[in-house]
Formats: sequence, structure tokens, C-alpha cells
Amino acid sequence: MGSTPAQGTAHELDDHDDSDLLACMAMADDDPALARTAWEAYFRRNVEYLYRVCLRAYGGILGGEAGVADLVAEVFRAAYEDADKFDPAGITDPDRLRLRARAWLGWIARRLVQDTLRGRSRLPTRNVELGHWQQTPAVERPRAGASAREQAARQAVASLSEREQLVIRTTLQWYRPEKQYQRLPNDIAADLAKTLGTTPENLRQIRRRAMRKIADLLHDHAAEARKQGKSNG
Amino acid sequence: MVNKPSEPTPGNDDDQTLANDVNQAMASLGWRVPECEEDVRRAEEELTASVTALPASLGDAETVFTGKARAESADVKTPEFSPDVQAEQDLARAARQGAAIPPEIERRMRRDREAAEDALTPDEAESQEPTV
Repeated sequence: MGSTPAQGTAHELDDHDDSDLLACMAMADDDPALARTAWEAYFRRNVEYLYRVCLRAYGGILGGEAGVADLVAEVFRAAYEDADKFDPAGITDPDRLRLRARAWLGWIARRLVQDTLRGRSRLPTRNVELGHWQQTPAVERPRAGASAREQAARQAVASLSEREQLVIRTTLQWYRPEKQYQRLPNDIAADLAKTLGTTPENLRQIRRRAMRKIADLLHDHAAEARKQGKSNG
Repeated sequence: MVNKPSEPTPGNDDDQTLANDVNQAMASLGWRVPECEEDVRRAEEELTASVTALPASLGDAETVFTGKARAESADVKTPEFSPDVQAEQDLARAARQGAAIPPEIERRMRRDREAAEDALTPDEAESQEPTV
């Protein structure tokens, strides 16, 4: 991956927004030194953010800090290789470009984790079997402005057993909001089951049971809310 | 008694709504890496409340760029069996000749194995056990 630029030049690009940096990386064939410098500026600007969001999302799946560090490094290397695929979507506001560039990194991270869960990645899944799941602490502070239903869903998910949480957290890495059906494809279920040390049918059963639990809790919450609404007049 | 809804079926609107709710819940719990601007901004605000040290492997951009950090990761420890050239030669000779392993070689092998296992912590030693 490219040649090492002169020392200290990465900071000269600090005033460039992330879209510009990615555009420089996309021209690595024409100017590898500039691409490398741009990558370093981009890396320094975003590594702490990406590491921290990946640690809380995937720390338990990837075996803690070391596994997440490997993932983050892979994400940034992938960002360099695929910099031409970043789409600024006509946005010119630097702050929005920053957010969009970080969202793109998140998308790359999820794809790499999907490969890992399917056993198709160099990143190891340490102790991810259903019997060895290590609970990663969830975000303690509820989101300000969250609807009552969202808060109820959050509580419902957090109330699942560790086994159910692991299945939900891994299978919903393939959640597609634009899809009407959320059934996990057979080949992905087979790979996930292998990674988690179980069978595809058992995986689906655990997922169905967990989703049913959540549905019941949300139904009870809604019924309670209606009852309170009636009693309050 | 409150009537519970029927089992969600594929393609059912309730099923899709539930999946959306769970996905949002996972995002609010920090179990999904943000993939849209709004979620990134929210995550940034949440992260300001805490401090997490960056691992040393991510502290050097050059190391990350070249991928050297992955090769030098010391997180996974495996027993190191010191190479014993003489023992290897003896074993190879015994294998060719179909003879038994000399007692001295066998003792040396056992000693090396025990020393390697002693180098592991109890947790690491347990993790080396095959899982059922």
C-alpha cells in the first residue's frame, strides 16, 4: 500500500474535509505519496471515534480490545482501497461530510464483522460461542427525546438472556430496513450457527423466541400506556 | 387478561415493525455501529461522557497502514515448544527405523511440554481446552 510520505506532511491536510481526503486516497495511482498522507490525516481524525463505537458494538464478538483494534485497522485499510466508492452525495457542509464519512466507516465495519461471523475473515471470533458469550455493557444513558416505544424496546432487548442477546446482536447485523422479510438466508444462518457453535434451526428458534419476548413486552407496554391514558381522562 | 398478538409471520407488518423497533433499540444501546449521519452525531454525543484509551496497536499510523500490527498481535498466546534439533533428529531416525523413542528423548519432550504449559496463565490454560 503506497510509499511513506515525508514526515509531518499529514498535518498539512488537517484543514481538508474528509471528502477531500478520501478523494486524494482515490487517486493513489496518480499520486501515492499524497494518497498515503491523506489516509494518515483521515486515520488520525477518525480512529478514536471508530474504535470506541466498534468496541461497544463488537467487543464481545471479537474478543475485546485487541480484536476490535484489528477490526478498526482493517476498516481503515479497506477505506484506503475503496476510497473511490465514498459518495459525498453533493454535500458541501464540512460537518455533514464528517458525519457521512464516519457513517461510511461504520458500514465498512459492519461488512467486515459480517464476514467474520460467517468465518470468512482473518479477524478471529474469540469466545463467541453461545456458551462463552461475554456481555458487553450497554450504553447506560437512554437517548434524549426517544419515544416511549423506543425506550420500551430498549428495555425489552436489554432484558433478554445473554444467549438471546448474542443471537439478536449477530443475526441483526443483516437487518435490511428496505426489506419486507427479515428472514436470515440459509447460507448465512449456517455460517453463523457454525461460528456460534450451534445448529441453524437452534439459532432460528432462539431468535424467534427472543423476538417473541420483545413483541410481548412491547404489547404489554402499549396496553399499559392505553390504560394510563384512559385513567388520566 | 390481555390478549397477546399471534406469532409474527414473515411479511407481516407487525413483524417488520418489530424488526425496526429492535434495530432501533440495538442502535440506542450502542450495539450497532452508526451508519447514518444522525446516528453518528448521536454516538459522538454519547461518547463525550466517557474516555476510552486507544490501544497501542492503533497509535502508529504506519503500522496500521502496512498491516504489521495484525502480525505482531500478542493477544493470543500459544505454547512455545523450544526447538530441539537433536530430539527431532532422533525422532526422525526412530520413525524411519520403526524403533521406540529413546527414554531420554521422551523425558525431554515431557519436560518441554510441562514448561510450556506452566508458562500459560490458568485462564489461558483453560481456554486451550477444546469446547464441546
